[in-house]
Amino acid sequence: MQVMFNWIVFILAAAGMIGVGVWSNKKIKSQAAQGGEGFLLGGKQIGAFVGAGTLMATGYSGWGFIGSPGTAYAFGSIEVLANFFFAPAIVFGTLFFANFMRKNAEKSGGLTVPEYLASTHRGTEGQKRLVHFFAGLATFIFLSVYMIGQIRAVGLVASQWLDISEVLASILLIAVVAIFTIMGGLLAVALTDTIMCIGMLIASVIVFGVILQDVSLAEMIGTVGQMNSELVNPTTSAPYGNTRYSVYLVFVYALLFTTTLPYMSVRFLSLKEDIKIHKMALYMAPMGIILSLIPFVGMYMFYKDPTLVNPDSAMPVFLNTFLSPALGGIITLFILFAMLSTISSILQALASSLSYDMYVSLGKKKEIRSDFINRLVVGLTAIWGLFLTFVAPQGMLNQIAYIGTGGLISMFVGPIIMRTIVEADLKTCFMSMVTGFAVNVILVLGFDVGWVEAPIIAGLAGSVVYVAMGLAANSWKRVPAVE
Amino acid sequence: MKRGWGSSHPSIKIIEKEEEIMTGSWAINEFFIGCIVIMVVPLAVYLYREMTVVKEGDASDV
Repeated sequence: MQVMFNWIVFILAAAGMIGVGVWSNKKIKSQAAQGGEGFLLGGKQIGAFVGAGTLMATGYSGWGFIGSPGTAYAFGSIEVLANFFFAPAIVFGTLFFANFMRKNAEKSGGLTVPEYLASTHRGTEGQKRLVHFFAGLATFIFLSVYMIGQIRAVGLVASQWLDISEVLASILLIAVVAIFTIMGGLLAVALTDTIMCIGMLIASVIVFGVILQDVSLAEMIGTVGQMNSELVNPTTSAPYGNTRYSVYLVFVYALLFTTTLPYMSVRFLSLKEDIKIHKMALYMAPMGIILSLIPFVGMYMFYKDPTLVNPDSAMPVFLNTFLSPALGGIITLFILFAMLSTISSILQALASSLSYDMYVSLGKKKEIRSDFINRLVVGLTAIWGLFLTFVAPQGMLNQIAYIGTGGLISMFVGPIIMRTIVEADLKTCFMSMVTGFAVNVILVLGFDVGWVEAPIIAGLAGSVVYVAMGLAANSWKRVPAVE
Repeated sequence: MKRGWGSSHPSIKIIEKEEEIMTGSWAINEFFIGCIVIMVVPLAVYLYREMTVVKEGDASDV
């Protein structure tokens, strides 16, 4: 009976998402901005509320709902703080950086983040293609591997929810995501993200409300502190670092994540021309706070039952024990939303890196950027993601995953963020990308530096190269004397 | 037993007291302080921008 209810909820939700895809398709077709911009950048029709919803939904992936409560169960209040840092990072990253990127993209005509890098730096056509291709290739490789983890997580949660195998559950949900992305491109992704974000917010409020109905925050913290004081007043930032202050690096990491990762920052390029970024940030702030309440589930579960064998089961046990089956089913849908909103954004960024960035940079004419190819590649990329998840040998993928999105962040910090300081050329851009990537690989594989610190240090190295080479190329001026 | 310098220093006592106030957890305290900051900064920027726009509008009217 419960499974049938879940299936009905799923079918209705899937139909709604596909409906949004159909509507988005009509919307982008009716606009003059056809031929790539409509599909790749949502016709630049994304306003303040949708912009806020899509950024928050994409930033807060399934980790926030499953992994984070599990980590809070095992490590306590440090996880509540670490997870929260994504909220100010996304809000401040948008508030202080989105307009810069949007205006530059408008001036130079970048439709994707790799193309933005190529077109906002001066140089020859060959250099432009090299940077465009290199950035597109890196985006494709690292986001492909990142998507595997997301697909696995979706399969795991959905298989229990719908009582089917993990493979079938993954195929089913990725198919829904692929269909609405093929139909409506980035606009559909942004709109469905916003709907999913609303669901995630409702889930957070319900979950936190259930906790507060049972126990006050002060009593819960006090009792957990008596059981294990390290969970309440940690002396280290484990699992984020060895000192008490290491946790603050999560904020820096999240700030770089927001401003440089293509599946996040491409949203800055797709915002409406007359958008009020400060209004968008004002929508985002409360959303971020509400979504940050979820890890309290982990502490609550420890308060109720400190003997769970698997900390990651904190959220599933909470849903099964403290909520009615129907409400638990709805919340599970919203948790799936959190994962799917991230997958749809990655899928869209992945597909555009293949169908647009690598294709155009290899010398194909820009007219080729037809919607048909972009849509076709979204479908192929979805199949590619499922293939990597369930068929491809995992050994090499694990190595790539270990470098992960941190490698991508390290590459793009210099050319995207330091561009606000120096107007460098394409040689500088390329060298900064290579340096950031190489340092990240060395730190992660050679020195076993953690996933938070490595991209920050490597990004810093890339930034130093960018600023130094950029200034040298400009005769030690921020802006070159002659363009 | 002789107590270490760290545990008896007045500044350490203040930090320990800070943890006791508010929620009793420094990490949760930081969380709530962060919530205030994340609301106040965008609100301040919003008000500043909106007031600037109004002023610019007034000037252009003149």
